[in-house]
Amino acid sequence: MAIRYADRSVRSVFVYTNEAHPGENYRHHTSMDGKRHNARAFQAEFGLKRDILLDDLAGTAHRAYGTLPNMTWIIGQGGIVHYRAAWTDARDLENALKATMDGMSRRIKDKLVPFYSERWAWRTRDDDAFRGRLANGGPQAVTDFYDKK
Amino acid sequence: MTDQAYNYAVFDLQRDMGKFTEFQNHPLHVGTQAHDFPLENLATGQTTAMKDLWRNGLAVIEFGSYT
Repeated sequence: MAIRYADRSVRSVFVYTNEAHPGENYRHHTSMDGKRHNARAFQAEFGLKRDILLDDLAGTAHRAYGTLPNMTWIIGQGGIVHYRAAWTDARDLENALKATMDGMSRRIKDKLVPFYSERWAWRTRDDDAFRGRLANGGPQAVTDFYDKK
Repeated sequence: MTDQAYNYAVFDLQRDMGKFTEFQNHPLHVGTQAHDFPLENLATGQTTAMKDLWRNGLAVIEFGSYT
């Protein structure tokens, strides 16, 4: 998606945060070098083409935006928030991106004005894939999530 | 929150769920001005200001980690 919209003045980045589910293979960060190491491993495994930007060790930016483990934001030119989602879902994000771009492009011609709206969005929960991701982090990550519920 | 608390060594489901609830009342809402912080580009090591991401158009910013 980042590539498809890059030529339409949409800059897509990934901000690397704290480890949501630390385990034996990918520990919590105690230094920026440790954070860089995990970020590079993440980039290599998933082949991310977007720029990866590292927050500081204290998570200053992440905390200011809400501290959730996988949220996504759309920010308009000039810095106004257009969309915020507690979870990243490609379909929901693309819907929001298309709607934002459509509204902005027709704003003058069609006399459009924005208004505030809230709703629940829906995503597919893939428990097997999630457990696999946890296992990749190490047995502790699986135990911490499933055995302490 | 301390740096150590932010970079927790053990996941806690109750704490995590609380963050989702808090997010609904987070003051940074649609229509407000986004915060600007310096971030480090993993590839180059150079510092990028978040405001530069939305200087010339829309910015899509995903937060996350390997785990």
